[in-house]
Amino acid sequence: MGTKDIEKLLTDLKNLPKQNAPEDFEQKLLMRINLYESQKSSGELSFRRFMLNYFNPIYVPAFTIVLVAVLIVYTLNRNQIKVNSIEASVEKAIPIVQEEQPITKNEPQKISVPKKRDYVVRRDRMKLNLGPGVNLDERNNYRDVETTTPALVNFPFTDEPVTIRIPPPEVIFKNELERLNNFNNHKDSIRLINSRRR
Amino acid sequence: MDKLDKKQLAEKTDEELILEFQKTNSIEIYNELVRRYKDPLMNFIFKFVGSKDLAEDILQETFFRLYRNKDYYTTVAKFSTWIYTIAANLAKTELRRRNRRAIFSIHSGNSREEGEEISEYELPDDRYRPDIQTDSKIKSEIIQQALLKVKPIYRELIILRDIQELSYEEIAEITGLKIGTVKSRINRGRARLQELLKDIYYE
Repeated sequence: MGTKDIEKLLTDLKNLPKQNAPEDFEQKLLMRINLYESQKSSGELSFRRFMLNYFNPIYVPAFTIVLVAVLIVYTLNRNQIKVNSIEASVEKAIPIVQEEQPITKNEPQKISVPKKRDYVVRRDRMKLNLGPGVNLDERNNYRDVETTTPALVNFPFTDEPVTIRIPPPEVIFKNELERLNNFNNHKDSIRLINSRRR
Repeated sequence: MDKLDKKQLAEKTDEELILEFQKTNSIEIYNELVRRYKDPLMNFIFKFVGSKDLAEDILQETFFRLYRNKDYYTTVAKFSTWIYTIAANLAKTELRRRNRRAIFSIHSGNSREEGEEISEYELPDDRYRPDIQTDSKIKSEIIQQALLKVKPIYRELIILRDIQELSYEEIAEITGLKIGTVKSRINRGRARLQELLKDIYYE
């Protein structure tokens, strides 16, 4: 398409039939303005504008928060409600006094450890017969000349352990020989007895 | 204040009238402004929305807002650009609302570029046929229909420039665009319109 077409198009656009406003347009407009003025004077318009401005869905969360806050405050102060400018107080909740109940506390049981006692061990001194000439307790018998060797007479007695030298028992060869003979005499009998048992 | 007669009112400029109206709230001054602008605005709105009834409603709303918000006018702007801005904004808002309704009701599943006119469910138009181009009335209707198929951002500028014959500066003031943007959009709009009317302007 060339410039001639553009010029034709622009000319046609300019020559498009004009669309005029309808004849009763001004009359309708004045009616609307009168209605607006009457609403404005009655306050209805301001109320409608307030509703349009503030009752918007975007304010719903904020409105909900405020409503909840008011409800909380009202609930907290509900014992002082003013009805028809007369303060009516709702009875306060009276606390019921109850006997004090023993509180059983489940405390951890202590492990009772028996105290240490001093065990006194009484030492009974027993006289041991260790043979002739031998005596452990020199305290009782240190004066006994027969059982005490002269070396132990002045032995200092203490509670501390004392090293005691025990001499070997005295061997009487005669008696030992006799006992040995007796044993040899009974030797066959022992065997016999043993063989019979078999 | 003394009542102004029709002759006195006719001699005053638009800006003088609106300032006078702000001061006195005189219904005669208001009526004078309505008389001056009702037809050009009606023509502009009708060409933009394509419906006489809708255009009348928008025009009434425009003048009602002029009455209600007269105090918002400042002498910085020309009255003509101010009233055209109100009308254009109302027309665009109404058009968007109608398109949204149509999208939700008929084209809920179809994606569509913003501002593009709905044409999927329109009946096939055989008026583009060359054999019926002779009648100028029908030709005007064809141009009007083609104009409605142009995107609103171009359509508004074409109407203001090529039909209402406003200057580029005035259009820039009305639309809030730069003059360069206005010129380039007007050219794009014209090109689109030519493309739609290629059967008529076929050499």
